[in-house]
Amino acid sequence: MANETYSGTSGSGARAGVWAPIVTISGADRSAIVVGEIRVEAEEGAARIAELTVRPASGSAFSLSAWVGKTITIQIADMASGSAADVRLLFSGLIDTPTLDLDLKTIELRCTDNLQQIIDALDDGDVDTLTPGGYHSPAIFDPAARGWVRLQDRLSTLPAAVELDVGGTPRLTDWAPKASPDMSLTGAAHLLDGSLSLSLASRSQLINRVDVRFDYRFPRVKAEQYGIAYDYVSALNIAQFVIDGNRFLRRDSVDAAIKAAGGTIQSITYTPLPNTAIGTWAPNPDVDYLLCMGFSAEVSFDYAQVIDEQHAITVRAQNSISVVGTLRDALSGALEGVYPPVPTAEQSMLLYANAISGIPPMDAAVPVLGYTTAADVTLTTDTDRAAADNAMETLIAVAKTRIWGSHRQNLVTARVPLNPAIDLDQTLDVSATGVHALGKVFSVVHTMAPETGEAVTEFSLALCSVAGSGVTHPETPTSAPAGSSPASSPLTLSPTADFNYGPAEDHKLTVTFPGVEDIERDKATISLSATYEATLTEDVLEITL
Amino acid sequence: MSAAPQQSANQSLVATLDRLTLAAGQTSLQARRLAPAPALPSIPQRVGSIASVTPP
Repeated sequence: MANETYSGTSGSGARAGVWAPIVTISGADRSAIVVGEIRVEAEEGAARIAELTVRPASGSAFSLSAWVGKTITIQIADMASGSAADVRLLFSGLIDTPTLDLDLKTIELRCTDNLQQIIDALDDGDVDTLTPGGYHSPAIFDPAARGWVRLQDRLSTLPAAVELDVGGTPRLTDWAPKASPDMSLTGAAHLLDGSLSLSLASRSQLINRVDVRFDYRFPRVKAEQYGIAYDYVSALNIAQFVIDGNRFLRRDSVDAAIKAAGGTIQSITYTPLPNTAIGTWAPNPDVDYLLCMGFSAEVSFDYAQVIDEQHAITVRAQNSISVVGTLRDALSGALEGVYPPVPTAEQSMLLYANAISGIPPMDAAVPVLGYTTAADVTLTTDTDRAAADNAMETLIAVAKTRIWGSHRQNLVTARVPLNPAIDLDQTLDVSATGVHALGKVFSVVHTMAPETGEAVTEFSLALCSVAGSGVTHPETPTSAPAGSSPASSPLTLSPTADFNYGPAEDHKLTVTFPGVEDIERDKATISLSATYEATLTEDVLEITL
Repeated sequence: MSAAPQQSANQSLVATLDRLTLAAGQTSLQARRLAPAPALPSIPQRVGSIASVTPP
């Protein structure tokens, strides 16, 4: 680790540091017109900002177009040799806001590395590539969100931050510290006297449990299949049946009556009239095949039911709860499966089953004799089960990230002679009297004051600490909890049939099938619960008073 | 005088800078709840009745 100091500001050996800023605007060196302090500030997840003041030559005309939007770079150089050496880039970006001071005839320049606009220019694929492992669900986030907002959405599911590096390239950095720190800074050798300070998170800032509620509504198609058997006359009494003037039942009337009830005939057999004379009754081959003494059929009905899955998902960091008690947050989401209206779907199933329409229904349950069966339907890809799972996984990831993020609000701040190597992607190990901290840089501010010769870097480490260094926090993988599955249940009631065969009756065949039980038809609310452990990495934060 | 037409663009950039420093971490996540589902009509007994017309 050779980056703990920069020779331009810390010197080399007994030699004191000699440095100079180099400022270019639109590619031209304008260092000579810089007056006062130059400040470059970077913070996790935000644009890098630079502020400096210039004093153009007396009598210069000012126009906004000469400044706004112009490229600017800020560098520092080791001037010990009398010429610029070991030149390091501190900032590159655009001038955003010039502010005129008419009394001093200076222009204060506020500059940005243009982070948001650079990210806004990325397409969804670029943003996703920039945030590997992140989640995104159009059911949870605004599906129209692009660029910067999409990046924020995905980052809310990742324990990581994205900024531009000093050269302007987007970069993702994990919150977790690297296995080996990029540099180790000790109080005596590196830190400015009295510069170390701590800001510890309050208990109320912590979140160690997130209650996630996710509702998923969708239809499920169902089928019930009844057996129905009916005989109104037999070979034993057919002779007297005829003598009494009764009528026989037509086979096509049986089919028609079942269809009139809305049923679909899966199979049917008819009890044929005898083929030999019985008493006074003699077979009539010309018409007997159209008649029957009864029938036995299996008849199915199709319908649908709306399912409301209510998922109660608990995401927690149990070791944090053990230390500080439960501190809750909540998230909620919902998704409704897109499918034709249930009445339309039911009509489609009926028309196709009874050969009235040749267009098959999108979905139908497989009927089983004596049971009500069910089947999932074909929903649109952005509302199907996979979409619901993705939505829940996204919420779980957001919850995990919130928990981790809330625990890394302990800040250790220190100042060193300006060190260009300290940046947001660095892991620093800081040891000073009474304090040992190791974690990722959260913010860094480089300040150069050429008139006083002071060049300082102030940095803060964001440290995750609750149960203590070395304590591990187990994690449950982020996979969606299981949803409900189609089920079958036995039918409890039976159909009936009645044929008015008497000579003075209306000769109607009436078949009656039971109504659908409410529990099979009414919206079904299914409560499901699951618990996930959220991990976080304990950074080193050891304090000795 | 020539600065006037540029003002709106510059103001936009100023607004952009404010967003740059303030908008980090703001997501489009919104709590969503389902509207009450309309109740489907119950399915009562299904009855089919047909006259079976045959000669006496």
